Amino acid sequence: MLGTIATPAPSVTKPVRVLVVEGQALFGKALCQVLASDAEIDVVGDADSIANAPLRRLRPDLIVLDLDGHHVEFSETMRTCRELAPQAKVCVLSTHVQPEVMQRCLSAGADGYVVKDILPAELIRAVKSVASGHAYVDPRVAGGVLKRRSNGFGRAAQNELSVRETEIIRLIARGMSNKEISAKLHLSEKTVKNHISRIFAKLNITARTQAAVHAIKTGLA
Amino acid sequence: MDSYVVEPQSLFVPYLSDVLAKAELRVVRVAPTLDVDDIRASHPEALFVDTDFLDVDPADAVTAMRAALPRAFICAYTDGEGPRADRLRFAGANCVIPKRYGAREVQQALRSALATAIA
Repeated sequence: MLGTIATPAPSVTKPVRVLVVEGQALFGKALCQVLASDAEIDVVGDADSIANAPLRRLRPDLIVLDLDGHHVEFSETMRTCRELAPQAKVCVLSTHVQPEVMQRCLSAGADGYVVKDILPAELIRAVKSVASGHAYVDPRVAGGVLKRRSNGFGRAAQNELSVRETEIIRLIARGMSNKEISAKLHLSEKTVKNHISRIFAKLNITARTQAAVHAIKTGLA
Repeated sequence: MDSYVVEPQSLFVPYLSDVLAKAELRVVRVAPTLDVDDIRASHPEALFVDTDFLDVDPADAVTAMRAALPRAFICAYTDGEGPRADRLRFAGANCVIPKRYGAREVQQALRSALATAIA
């Protein structure tokens, strides 16, 4: 299921139409500049969120989607992509190297997962690879997945934390209060409490300290 | 002005460096994480730090940088605004730039803050 690039990306016959969705305005422009430097990539637009991206009009072949700037659940974002641009592949860009975060993204339907310290040439290869129907994940993160599986850390899908829940448990492990977490993630405290309740239920725990210990043991924090 | 950038999104650094150069901040060193000892040893005139990806509280990070370089110009680059930005200013940042800003707005904000800091 998981694939990493060990050989040159397959060549594509016509330029890949790429839409960049990135909440950080400057970083979005930087991405456009990197991608547009390749003759086989046509950057058709950029937006600060999926909600503001004219997906139906632009009809991208591939969406480069920033994970870090999302203020809504990632699975909702993916649903919007699938509904408005069913033809488009989705390549997630993230600063997270935790295998669990990548797994949530792939489970939600992403076709690629790239960490933001990737070299420009490798990003271009990743984009072309995903556009041509191959999966791409950062080799470092993929290696983590395999290691965790061999260590027996796999859990049933229904017990896996969502991307948002993963973010929240990491912040709990940093000692942040619900109020601080709500401010950091731009969520109401009530929403944060709901997420935490689901985390507790999924992990079968009853206290924040247990959540923090879980996050540390599983490499989330 | 010789500048030190803390930014883990290395893909972003070349473009960011161009933007900063147009605001008279010449990037001389880049680090993916906060290393106060390295900052002190580099003794830059300015620090530009992306506070959203640090392993420590952003305000604590700014406090540490301010302690390390009492006279440096410190710019915090963050997704947070309002009270969160105020905390960074209170901790010692000369300038807090939100990530929704485009290149021109970033440069204007930096030039304005630099003028105030120098005055």
